[in-house]
Amino acid sequence: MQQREPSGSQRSTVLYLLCLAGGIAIAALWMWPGHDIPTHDTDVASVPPAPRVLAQAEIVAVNTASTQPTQAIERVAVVVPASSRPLLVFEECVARLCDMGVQVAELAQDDEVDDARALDKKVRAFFDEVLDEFADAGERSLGMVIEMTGAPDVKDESPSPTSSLQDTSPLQNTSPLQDTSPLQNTSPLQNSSPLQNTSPLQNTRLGVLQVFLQAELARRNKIAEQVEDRVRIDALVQSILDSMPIGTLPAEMGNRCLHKGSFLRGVHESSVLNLLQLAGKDQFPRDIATNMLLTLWDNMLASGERTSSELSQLALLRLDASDPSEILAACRHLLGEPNYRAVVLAWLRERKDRALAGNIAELAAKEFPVRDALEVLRELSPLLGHRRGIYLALGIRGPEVIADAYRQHLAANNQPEIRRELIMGVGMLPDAAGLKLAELAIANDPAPDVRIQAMFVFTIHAPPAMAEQAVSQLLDEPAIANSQVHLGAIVMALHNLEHGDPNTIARLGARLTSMSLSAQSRESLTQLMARCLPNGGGTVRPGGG
Amino acid sequence: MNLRSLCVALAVTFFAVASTAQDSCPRTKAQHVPERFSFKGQQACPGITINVGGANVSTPGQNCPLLATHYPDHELEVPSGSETLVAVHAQAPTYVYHFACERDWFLVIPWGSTCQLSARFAGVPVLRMTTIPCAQTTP
Repeated sequence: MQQREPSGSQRSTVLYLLCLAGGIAIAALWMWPGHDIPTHDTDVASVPPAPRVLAQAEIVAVNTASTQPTQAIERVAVVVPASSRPLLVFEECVARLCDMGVQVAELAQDDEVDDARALDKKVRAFFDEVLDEFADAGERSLGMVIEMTGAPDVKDESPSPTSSLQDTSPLQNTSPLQDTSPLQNTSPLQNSSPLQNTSPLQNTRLGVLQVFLQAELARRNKIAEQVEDRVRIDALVQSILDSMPIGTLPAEMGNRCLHKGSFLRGVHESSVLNLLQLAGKDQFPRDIATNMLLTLWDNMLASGERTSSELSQLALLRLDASDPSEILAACRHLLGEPNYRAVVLAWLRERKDRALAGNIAELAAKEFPVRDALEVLRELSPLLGHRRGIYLALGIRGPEVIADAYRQHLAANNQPEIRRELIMGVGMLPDAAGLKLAELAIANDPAPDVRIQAMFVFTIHAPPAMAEQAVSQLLDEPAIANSQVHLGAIVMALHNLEHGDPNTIARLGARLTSMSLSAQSRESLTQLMARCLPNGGGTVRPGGG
Repeated sequence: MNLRSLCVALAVTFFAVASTAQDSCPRTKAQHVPERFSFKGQQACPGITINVGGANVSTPGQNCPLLATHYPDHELEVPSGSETLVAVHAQAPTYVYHFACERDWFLVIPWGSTCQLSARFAGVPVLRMTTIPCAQTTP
């Protein structure tokens, strides 16, 4: 140990001197006059820099000079590639597309078809251009939808999961218009009825944003399938799901974009279940929450994330859930499985939940194969009461199947309530295909209710003379002529003939006047005859005369 | 006929009438059904359909329905656990609406201007009913 100390001391001294010498050498090189780091000044000089960039460079140089007066740092202007067109602003593009869309509509309404087509072509090209320009067109569109939403519902005064979602949403506070937008509550998306008047501009804007969102979803989905990486599409879907509790517009927009689409996947399950929880607290539309769950299950089955048996087991468990959407989704899945259908139908009948049975029936009428749906409706009919519209949904999809079912029930002379529904399901469709079935019913069906339904079909689709004959035939029957309820229905059917031959109204009205109508029906008949007949048909007196 | 026989005869008659009255009670009640407007079917209306990179994007939510039904507030007769029945006090009109597309080639267009209400027809009316005790109807 004693021998080492001198050599270590020597070594450190040498190192110190070497470092000192190196530092002096570097300082000398740095301060050497004429020594500059080579720059690309000559190259830059040949290309004129963009004025804005140059100005910024000068400002920076001035500031630097004031803080470091002894060192002249030379700044190099970065060359920005010259752009052949101005940068697009997404919001302005949407506004422009709206304007163009309205122009197309106006041209079309003025029958300037060629101009409308030409402008429509430009709209499509511009839409493609905007979509190419903005890789985040979906997120931007979603943000604009949220801006149109306005403030949360007034009734949500207390802190709720909805508001907490708003706090955590990445899309929160994207708009200063949320509280002040005069366009809120005017959207067609908020109204289920197309009959209500809404702002065309609002409609157009929502339509454009919906197209962008769907185009973006389709684009990302396609890429995801190509590269087998769903990160980007999943992120957009997640944003949509997160935005849905914020308000009615995002909820409806999300429903339109995601319902029956292939975008919802297993990673979104917790968000969908969150929507169900909100629906359970009346803080989110129940039907939309149900749609999301049904779509999620369909997609998980289609993508192989869950097998059919796994989903069936899950569905069986969900039958005991307290949430109606989960029960509905479970029933819907199990009813689609032939092995489980009878069990679930029996379970539904035993449960005697009319609301659930009605929802199942509507779902089946819309989605199941027509014959399967008929079976479900038949089994649930004791719980359905009369739900005449349901069979219309089936009639649209399979009128011949419905007609066959009616003929079978008529031959067996059973289920008169279902026979009435079947006649309506085909007979009230826009085309006159159901008229033949109505003829069969009015001539052969023993149930007055079914024949009255068939008579309505005559008043819609048959020539006036045939309709008059059908009505007269019913009025000849004592079971109908002596019932104020049946006569009230016939008076109502007469309204369908209002714009036909007034003589038909005059003859049938006169006959009905002499019958035992209720006061309400008599009043209705009086008004009808006053509208149709030249002298107002006179006063309809009780008991005729 | 002594007094005892007379009492028995009266009791039998009373129970017979009572049991007849009870049998005639349908044990039903009126269940309210709220107003409902629902759309059925879709028709290939215009719309917002566009080809993006080979993928067709459409807007099913904005398609035109084929028809719609309107059922006003009414009641259904459902089983009841008590001695009640329903009495019809009015009929309420129902309607079926038919829709039609007018044009089929716009990209962006106000929804209402392409999907038009083409006709409205009256349907079989529904009943307004109230629940009353069976005792009110027995003489």
